[in-house]
Amino acid sequence: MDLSQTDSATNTTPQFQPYSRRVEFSGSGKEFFSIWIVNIVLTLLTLGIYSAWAKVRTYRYFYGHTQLDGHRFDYLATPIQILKGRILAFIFFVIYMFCTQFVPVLGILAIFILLFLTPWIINQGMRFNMRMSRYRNVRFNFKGSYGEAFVVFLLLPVASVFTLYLLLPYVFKRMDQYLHSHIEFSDTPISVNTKGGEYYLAALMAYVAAGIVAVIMLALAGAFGFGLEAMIQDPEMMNDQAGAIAGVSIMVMMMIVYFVAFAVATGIYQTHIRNHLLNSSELQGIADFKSDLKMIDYTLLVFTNTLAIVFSLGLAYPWAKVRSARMLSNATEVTFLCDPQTLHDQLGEQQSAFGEEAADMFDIDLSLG
Amino acid sequence: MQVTGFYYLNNQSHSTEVTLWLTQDSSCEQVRIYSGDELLVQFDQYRQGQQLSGLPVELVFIDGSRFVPHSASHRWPSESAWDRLLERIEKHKTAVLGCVIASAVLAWLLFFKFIPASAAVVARSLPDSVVHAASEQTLAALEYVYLEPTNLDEAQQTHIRTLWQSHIAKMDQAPEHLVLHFYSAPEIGANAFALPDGQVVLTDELALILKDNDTALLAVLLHEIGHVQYQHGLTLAAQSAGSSVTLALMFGDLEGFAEIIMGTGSALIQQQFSRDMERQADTFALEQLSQLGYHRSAFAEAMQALAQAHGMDEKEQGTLWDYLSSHPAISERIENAHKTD
Ligand SMILES: [Zn+2]
Repeated sequence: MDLSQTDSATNTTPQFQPYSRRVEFSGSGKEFFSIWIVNIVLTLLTLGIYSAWAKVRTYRYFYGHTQLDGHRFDYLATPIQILKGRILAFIFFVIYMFCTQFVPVLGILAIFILLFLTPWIINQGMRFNMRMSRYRNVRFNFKGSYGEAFVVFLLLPVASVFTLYLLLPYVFKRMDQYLHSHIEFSDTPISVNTKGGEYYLAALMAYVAAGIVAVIMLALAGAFGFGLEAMIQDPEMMNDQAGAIAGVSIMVMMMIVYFVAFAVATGIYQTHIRNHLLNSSELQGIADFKSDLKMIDYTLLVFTNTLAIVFSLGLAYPWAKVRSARMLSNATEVTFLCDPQTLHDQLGEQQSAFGEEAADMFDIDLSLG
Repeated sequence: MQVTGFYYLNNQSHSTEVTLWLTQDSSCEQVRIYSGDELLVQFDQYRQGQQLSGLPVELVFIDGSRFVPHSASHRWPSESAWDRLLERIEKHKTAVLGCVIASAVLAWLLFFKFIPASAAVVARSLPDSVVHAASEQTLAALEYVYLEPTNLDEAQQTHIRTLWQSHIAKMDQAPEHLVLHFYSAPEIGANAFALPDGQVVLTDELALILKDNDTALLAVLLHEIGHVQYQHGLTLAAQSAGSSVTLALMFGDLEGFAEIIMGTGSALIQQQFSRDMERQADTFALEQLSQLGYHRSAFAEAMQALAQAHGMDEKEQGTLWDYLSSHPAISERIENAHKTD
């Protein structure tokens, strides 16, 4: 067994020794803050039109600062492609709003059309994002099919409703698998061997942890609430203000409980799934992926990022984005299985062969955000 | 100019460590790329990539090959004035601080001035048929969820209709197409509301608590006519749509809880506008009352009756709840009615 494996490895790449590299992220919160705030000023001044340029600058910043084996990733989309996509989405949104407000029958029709367009939009968005991503001069690609996307993103979620959402972790598994296994690099698809059981485990861990956190916090809140009630019983405090304060503080307390439970659940679920997904993926014969994201670190990151964004009225957003990018990059390792100097951009070669223009009619950004 | 970096061939992952020489005469530029001492290739044309703080700027050549400098701070003589300006602003501490302040001011102008003003314009310029269709839909939805056929007897209905018609005829600038409907609404209780096309709904519960006070009932109806007059409903809808789109463009992808908080903030702003609209409708009702020759205190009586019907102490409000409420405090509204009377 061992022997045959080494044999085949030496046969295909006689001189190449596989080597592993960590992904590095070199962006800084301060630098991205400057870029972000200038983007916002220009977006506000142009009533939103500059947002397309802003998106390109933001993506270029994050891609360019992500390095693997000494080479940077590139984001290739042009602002005009983004702008076209946004105008299209805006027109559809206006028509849809108009329909639902004034001609409900057409509104329902619009929802149906959108529903049946969803698989196509998902494919289109992935295709665009992948083709606009480049590493070492080779672009990524995405080859999805409408039928499969229809099953994974429409049929299965609907079916999960009838199983009281018991099917949902399996549906998420299928979604991740669909989105990742159709990505290609140098004409090689990624093979994804994820297990449904891991998704159920992740969901269960997230639920249990969120439940425990919520119970502990509610117990604490209950103790605090007794004190508050005693205060209101006190005749001198028995006025309107106290009633209002009690009402508002109960609301705030519930929000805090919800927030902490939510952060814990998100952190646990996302960590487990990301690690499992990357560890089960391989760009066949080219690269193997590994992710060792730490559950506690990532949960704390989600938690502190949200707090920072909320209490800084949004100003901590760039810092939070950079922190996340750094932690996720550092938790990712890539093992090169063949010489990365020998790959080809199949997309570009096809284009020159057929003399096609790079931007076809639908090469616009339909991805949301 | 001599720069080290990676040289990539077109459509290939193959990269070479190179040194690039850029020479500029008065008439032409020339790029020569060396691997060690060996001249790999030379070009007399190049295009530079987009410039961004903290990232190297690539050169792209006619055959599709690229040069990426190792140094992130190196800049080419061909940089555009706009790129240079942006990068200077981004690197300048005072300028960045200026941008923070400018974005706060601009966001304030946008959310509190520009969006409300354009929402009002949009609401006003919608064709009547569209406004009517929207109102019919809203009423149909309300009928389905909350409203039941009226239980008021014929005499009472006729009495209120006469009150309504005789006074609308006397108003100088009444909105067109005003229609009054009666509904029983056990879940809503004593209330009245207006639809954008001029349909006003009065609940049986409100008609009953004000059955001995025609002027107070008139005050409530005038308040609703005020909403129609100023197109408040449509303006508020257009405004909240505009605000959500703007927030989405500013933050792009907020996740989870941060998104909820920002959404809540935006909703609180909407409540503020809603309270301003209520005040405007109150003022309209008070002015019309005076013009029709009634005492403004009739409005205060209506408010007191409403507060009682909903089991509120008039002092109970005027606290923290004000910021969460879509209506001004009853006490404030009553005070206003007594002012300058
Ligand atoms: Zn009102």
